[in-house]
Amino acid sequence: MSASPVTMEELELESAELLPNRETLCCGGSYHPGNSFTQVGYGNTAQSGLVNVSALNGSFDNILSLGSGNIL
Amino acid sequence: MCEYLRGGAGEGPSGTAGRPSSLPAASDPSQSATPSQSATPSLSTVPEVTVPEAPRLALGVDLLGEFKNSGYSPPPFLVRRPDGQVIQMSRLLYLVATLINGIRSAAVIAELASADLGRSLGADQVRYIIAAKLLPLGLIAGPGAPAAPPTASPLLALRARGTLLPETGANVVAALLRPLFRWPAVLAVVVSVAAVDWWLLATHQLAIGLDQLLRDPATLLIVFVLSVASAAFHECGHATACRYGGARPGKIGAGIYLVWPSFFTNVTDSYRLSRAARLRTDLGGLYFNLIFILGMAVLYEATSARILLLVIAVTHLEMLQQLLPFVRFDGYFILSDIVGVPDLFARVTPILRSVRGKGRTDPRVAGLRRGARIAVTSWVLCVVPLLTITVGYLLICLPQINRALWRATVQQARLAGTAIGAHHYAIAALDAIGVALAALSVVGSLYIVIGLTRRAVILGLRWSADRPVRRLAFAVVAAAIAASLATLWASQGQFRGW
Repeated sequence: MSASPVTMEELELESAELLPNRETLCCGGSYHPGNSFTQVGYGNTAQSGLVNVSALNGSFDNILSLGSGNIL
Repeated sequence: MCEYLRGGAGEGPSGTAGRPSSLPAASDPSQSATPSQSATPSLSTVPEVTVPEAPRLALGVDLLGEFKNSGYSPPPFLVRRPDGQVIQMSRLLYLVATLINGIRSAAVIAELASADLGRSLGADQVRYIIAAKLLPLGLIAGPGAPAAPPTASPLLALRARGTLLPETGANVVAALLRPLFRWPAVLAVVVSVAAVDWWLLATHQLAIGLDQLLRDPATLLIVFVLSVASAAFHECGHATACRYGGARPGKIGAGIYLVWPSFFTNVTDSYRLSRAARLRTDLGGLYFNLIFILGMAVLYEATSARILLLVIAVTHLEMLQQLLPFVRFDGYFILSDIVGVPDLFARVTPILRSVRGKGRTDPRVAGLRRGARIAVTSWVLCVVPLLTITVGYLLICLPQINRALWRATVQQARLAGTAIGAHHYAIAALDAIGVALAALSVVGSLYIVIGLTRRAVILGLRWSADRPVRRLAFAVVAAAIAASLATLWASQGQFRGW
């Protein structure tokens, strides 16, 4: 008994995919002063998140205050 | 006759094989090598190239074997190009690649492949595979090989990277630290850190460290420096785990991830490891964080510097952050390796398309096992709204955010100047870090928005190519979005007060 032939339709479905480099990341600055102790707006609570900004209930003025004027 | 099937005389039934009748006309193959799509062209994009009589692989192509513990059935195979690009491919493509040696003709390759497959594969089909599937990927040497083979361009990847430790150095460090992954050492570290944490929480020592920080904000500089050191050591953990598993880590460096300065380690070679070894590579960084915590505990015992206790707490927070699976932190790779599906972000579009149920299932999701499909779909359903809301929020508040960041930059610079004048150099250093971070956040937010806009425009242009009605619709939608944003920003006064 002869083997079944591979069809061109099957060949079309054969695929390849470029994989990205595996690069493990570590954001050493995520909890350093600039991100950990951030006061956002007037009366907002400090936060750190995916994007280090927030506008819960005020403007973004004085978004950072650290070093000489740390606010914890 | 289509030129791509020209092969060696006498190999096919008629010397130079004819194109199978089911194949449509050829067109530009470069369109297939987009990051958002499968890398091989469909039959409608077959390149017109000459297949050598005895094809050979490009110099330096490495056949890595099966992707172990894959979430796909049947499992895919891996090939690495000399430029480091790893390609995942189906078994048949891989089988043909393994049989190509610069001596065998397409007919011989077809015969051997047929024996391996248990099915009949013709010489013409082998030439088709070479011309349409392998050649565009830069895996075949000779005429028709792309001058610049396609490379992956993943979404939300690290940018502006620089090398801190080259590959050789990373391997030396990894070889030296390898004994840390022997199980008695791992057990000792985990138990010791658990004891340190219990002591820290039970004795409220953490509050004392925080109190010291409040009394002397300059000590924040110590927290910052040690936090950066912890992150660098974290990357050594990935490199060491990669080496321990039998793969070769690449360079360790630094770059910008979204808006964050970030260390990175290239562990691409770990693709070829087993699931357990890949997971060890993913968790190696967190394990080294534990070792770092132990080091801080020992240092505290020697110095009684309570700020070190705060460093321990901060390191724990960094470890928790690393477990986030929604951006390319360790949690993302852990999830990816548990389900056996590399590059989860590349599954977003195919999964969403498959939910719509239109057209043929994308090969990137077609072969997923049930468990892997459920896991990947769940991840997509979480990550899409999360990133949409985050990016949407960033867009809506972009001028306001950057105004605040700019003001913060100016304010921190002023404070740094004042601190220098008062000879408070530690405070000045903190303020300088604040200036850098605020400025970096401005650049980062703009970079994200510009990058995503660019991708959206490219997708829109591709979607509307040669279709005037679609192009008009795309232009109208793009203009409407831009006008709406500008109106919103202006009405909220986001352009004022800079």
